[in-house]
Amino acid sequence: MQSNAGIRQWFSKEGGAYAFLFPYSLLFIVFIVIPVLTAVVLSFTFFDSIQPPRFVGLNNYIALITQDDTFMRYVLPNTITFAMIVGPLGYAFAFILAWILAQLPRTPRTLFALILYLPSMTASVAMAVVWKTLFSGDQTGYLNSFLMGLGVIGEPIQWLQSPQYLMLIMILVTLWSSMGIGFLAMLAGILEISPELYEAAAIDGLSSRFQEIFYITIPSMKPQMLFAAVMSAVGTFQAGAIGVTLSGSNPTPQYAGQLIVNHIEDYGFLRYEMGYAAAVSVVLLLMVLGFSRVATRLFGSEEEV
Amino acid sequence: MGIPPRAAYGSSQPNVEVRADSFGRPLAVDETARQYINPSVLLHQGDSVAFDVAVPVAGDYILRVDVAVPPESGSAEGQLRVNGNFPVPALQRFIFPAFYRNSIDTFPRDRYGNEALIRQERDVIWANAALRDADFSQPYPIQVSLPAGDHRFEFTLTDDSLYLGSVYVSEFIPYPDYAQYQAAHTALESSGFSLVLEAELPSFKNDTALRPVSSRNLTVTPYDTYCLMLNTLGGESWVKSGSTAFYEFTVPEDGMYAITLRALQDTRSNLTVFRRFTINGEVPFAELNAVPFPYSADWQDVTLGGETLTLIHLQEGVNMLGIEATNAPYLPAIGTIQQALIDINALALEINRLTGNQRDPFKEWVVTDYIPDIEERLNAISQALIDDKDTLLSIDPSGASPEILTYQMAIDNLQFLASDPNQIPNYMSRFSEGTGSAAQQLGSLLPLLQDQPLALDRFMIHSPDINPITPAVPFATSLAEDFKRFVHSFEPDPYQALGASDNELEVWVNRPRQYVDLMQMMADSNFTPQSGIRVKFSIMPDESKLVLANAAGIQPDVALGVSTNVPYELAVRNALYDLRTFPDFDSFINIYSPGSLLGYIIDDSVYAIPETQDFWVTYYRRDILDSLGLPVPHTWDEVIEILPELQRYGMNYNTPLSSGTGTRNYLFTAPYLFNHDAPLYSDHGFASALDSEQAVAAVRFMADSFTIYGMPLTTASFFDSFRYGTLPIGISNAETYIKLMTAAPELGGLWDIDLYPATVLADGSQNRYATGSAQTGIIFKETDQPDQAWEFLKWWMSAETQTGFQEQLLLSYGREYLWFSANLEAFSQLDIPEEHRNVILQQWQWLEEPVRLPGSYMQERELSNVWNRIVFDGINPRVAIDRSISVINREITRKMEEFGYLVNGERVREPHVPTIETIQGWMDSAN
Repeated sequence: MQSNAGIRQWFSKEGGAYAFLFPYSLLFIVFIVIPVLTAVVLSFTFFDSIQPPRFVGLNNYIALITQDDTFMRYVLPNTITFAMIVGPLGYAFAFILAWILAQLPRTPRTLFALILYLPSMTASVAMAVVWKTLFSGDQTGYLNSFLMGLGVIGEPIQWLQSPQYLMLIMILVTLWSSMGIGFLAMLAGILEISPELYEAAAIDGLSSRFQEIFYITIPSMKPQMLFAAVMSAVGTFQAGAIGVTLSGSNPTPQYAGQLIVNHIEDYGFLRYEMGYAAAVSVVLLLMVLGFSRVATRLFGSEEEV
Repeated sequence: MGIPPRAAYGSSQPNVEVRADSFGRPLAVDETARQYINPSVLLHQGDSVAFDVAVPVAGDYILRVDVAVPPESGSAEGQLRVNGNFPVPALQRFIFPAFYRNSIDTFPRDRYGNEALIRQERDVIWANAALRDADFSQPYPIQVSLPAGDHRFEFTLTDDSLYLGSVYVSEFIPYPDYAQYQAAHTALESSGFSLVLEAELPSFKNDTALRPVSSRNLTVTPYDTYCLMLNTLGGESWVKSGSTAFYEFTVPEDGMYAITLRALQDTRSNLTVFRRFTINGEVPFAELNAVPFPYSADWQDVTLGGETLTLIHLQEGVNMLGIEATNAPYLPAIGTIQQALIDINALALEINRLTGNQRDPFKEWVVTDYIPDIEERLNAISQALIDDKDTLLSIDPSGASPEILTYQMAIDNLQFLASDPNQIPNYMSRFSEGTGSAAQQLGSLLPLLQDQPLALDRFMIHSPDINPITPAVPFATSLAEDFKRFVHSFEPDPYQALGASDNELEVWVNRPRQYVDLMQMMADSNFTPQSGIRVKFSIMPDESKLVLANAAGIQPDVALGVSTNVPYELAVRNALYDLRTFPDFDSFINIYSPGSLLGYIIDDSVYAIPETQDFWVTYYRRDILDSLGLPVPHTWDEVIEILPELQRYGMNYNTPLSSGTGTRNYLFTAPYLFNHDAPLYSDHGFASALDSEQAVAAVRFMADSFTIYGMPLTTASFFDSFRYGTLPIGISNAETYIKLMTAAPELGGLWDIDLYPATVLADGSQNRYATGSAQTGIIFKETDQPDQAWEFLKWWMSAETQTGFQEQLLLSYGREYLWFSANLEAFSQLDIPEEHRNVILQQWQWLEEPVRLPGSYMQERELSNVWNRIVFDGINPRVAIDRSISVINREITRKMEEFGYLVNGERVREPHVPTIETIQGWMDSAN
């Protein structure tokens, strides 16, 4: 009886909170927890997506570290290069542009914010058509035609086929479309800062705009900076479609633009090794998690770290 | 059906009749010949008859012949020599169309209640046909000017077979105008009579492309709220000049009648289309030779003669009305455009030969020094076009039609270029290259003027005192109908639903709706009655659904339209049914090129059969090669020989490798290996053979084509480059073929195809193997009715079904829907020019597909990487290959273990590596 009463007491005290939590947690479990757990479970199996999975223990992880030449030689370096450039650079661009926009009056600010946000709204696949025309490898491609017209090059350059250029172009295109939700958050964050803070700082002897940014703007918008940093870490690691769309095939020529996401698709859908692909995605998940922790350490408040 | 009463044009009587018994050939005595009162002869391709005719006075003469096309042949073609030569070019080729009629009287319903097309059957009809131009575009038959005296005529049949009866030579007299006609026909006006005929059910017709279409307009009869009724005739399917529908009807008494048609021309805005009306095989008066149907957004009642009602004399009893599409009023304009295109292309070539590959905007040319008359030539072309535009404006004065605007744009381009001819090299995009150029605009005008689309709902033969106007539909009724349909639209679309009932065979098809509808209809009407097996087709929008469905256990029995690389992957993982377990499999595959099956074989079992086939052939611009004096290359050596000459003019040769994307798969790379006799695998399939001497030679050539010979590495669109003449020759596939056939009217007759270039080996042997698999059909292992599924696949791939399917596709949807069946017999019936068909069939003798083995995808991938490394990184071929070999072999070992060929490094069993000879052996031993 006593335990029954305890339950009732607990229910009357906290039941409402759980009832409110229920819809969200249901969706969270169905769409996030279960798929992630399934992936983790599959990563310990051999699964060709046609026949039933077979348990193989840690073999997939062992193969990933010891045998997967492509992963170690191309995919991992590519992903890290890509993430290291696109992540911080895109983040910095987002901040600088948000700060510049914050200096503008309201109407042009909204207009420019919309223009800058536009690339991340359009489907990247649709935009790839534009980029493919720009970088097309025959003399009708805009860039080739322009450079040949100037006499800089004599023959068309295979921008999207040749391994030297593919990664560079992928980085450019991704940077172009990186003014996403993080950028909007930062813009909102900068606008939220009370002007009195700047005035007070000016009285205290603040001498330049740079000091303003460094001592007032950034510390005052830490939550937005964190949000944008996590978004950019997740976004860059998850970016994968761009190389495949630009070069037109998975795998990309000589794996020059192969990122982890492409590697997962390659194994999961082209080689029918779903278990191995699941193992790679678990590794990707851990990497994203790690980089998010780094971002939290940099920008999070004390209790979040 | 008897002979349409013979009558000469106008009021002229036949001057001379030559009967068939004077031809000196054995007379025909069969069933068809007996339907004709006079004697007749049966001619086959190449036969000719000669006869002498004495012409009393000098003048223009026309010839009419009594002919019937035998039931088993298509349209017959002939030519006529007068005194040993062709006095008029049109006499070199004229056509006697075959006639077709509906096999049943009413439209069958498909399984969802919608009306389906009636199967057409040949109809043998004796007709008194005048010799007309092959395009049926001239307003009058071919006129031959003859002096008085004896003339020798020689009639030769150049295609198919024909019964030829009497020949009539008569003097040419133009049709009378209506006033003369009225004066000559004094019969009484009829009174109180009206007869309605539904246009969608003609008695017979001379063109199978002309077919019923469905309209949901409320005033169209018959009408149904929910089901699609085939209730009108023509529209976009009735465009070709000469395409005729015939209607037989009975009037109670001799007299003068009016004809009112319910017609719609809503596809060409502000353009007038024309129809030619014949009564009992004869145009009664000149006004009916080209009756205008102006643009209208809605159905209209058109009474022949319009305001001034023209009455037509009909005799008591059966009369026959013929309605023929005609573009005769546009003929001068069409001729000018064709000539302008020839002139523009010739001039463009001259300019290209002058400027060569030096396309530099900063370079100044004095074109007038080299082509002094260039300005006059440009002005002459544009002046001819201006005159034609004025003619067009006189036909339709609104001037707002897209055709007029296109004319104006082409003229503007030409005048702009003529204003400063020395700038032309910089403005070739306004002249002959590119979508906005004068040549392309004129090219796009051609079909617009040639085609004469018109839809007919029904027509009424009536007395002048009857009002034939259809009342407008009340607003409330149309609102109610729309509302009913809106409500109905919430019901599920039966065509889309997946899942079949228990006793049905479930077939998923990876093709668009049009194909699947037709397949369902053919299966329902042909396969189910004869076999008792019910089939339900569903559209499979995405192939990856197959893997997922199989994992979920809801896979279909049969899947069609499956890409060529999918069956192996499914089969090796035990998802597919081994088709070779069916006892008649080996005899069934006789319909294929043996090489086409190579990709679906695992250890002597076959898991898929080809449905459609692709082809790699050489496309070339005859005009450009001729003007450069270059031959069509038949081997790669010859290709390399003509390359410097092409490149001197800024042109090049296209290879499939340059049309490919990032990773070049076997489709593009395998032919090089095959043709150098390079084996794909060594060590019984346990290792790659890319390091063999032959493979190294093949890879070296693949790379040399680009690094040494300078072929283009990327071709964004071969079709466009081919049209603009920058790549006047190159290898491409079926897709390019369809585009050239349908979307490049300005190139008509200027291009041709030839075999894939051969590789000449050291021993002198020539190989021209090429890949060419497109889509396949598979049966799933978990099916509960394998025998029925196999029965269905056999029916589907049978020559009869495939021929019927490809014909129906062309008839229903046009030439964009060309179907390249893997069944060779069916393909040889496909309606494309015979020369093209022969080239493709010959190329298919060289069809070979790469054999797939565990891990072989790695070789496909690495082959592309090797090529990429040599071409872009400048690495030595042997080094590049060596690096890949270890990668490939490691993957092969891994996969061999996965599929149980290797256990702990021990070879448990060996895969059988099939060759073309293996399959040939199966075929031979089955017979």
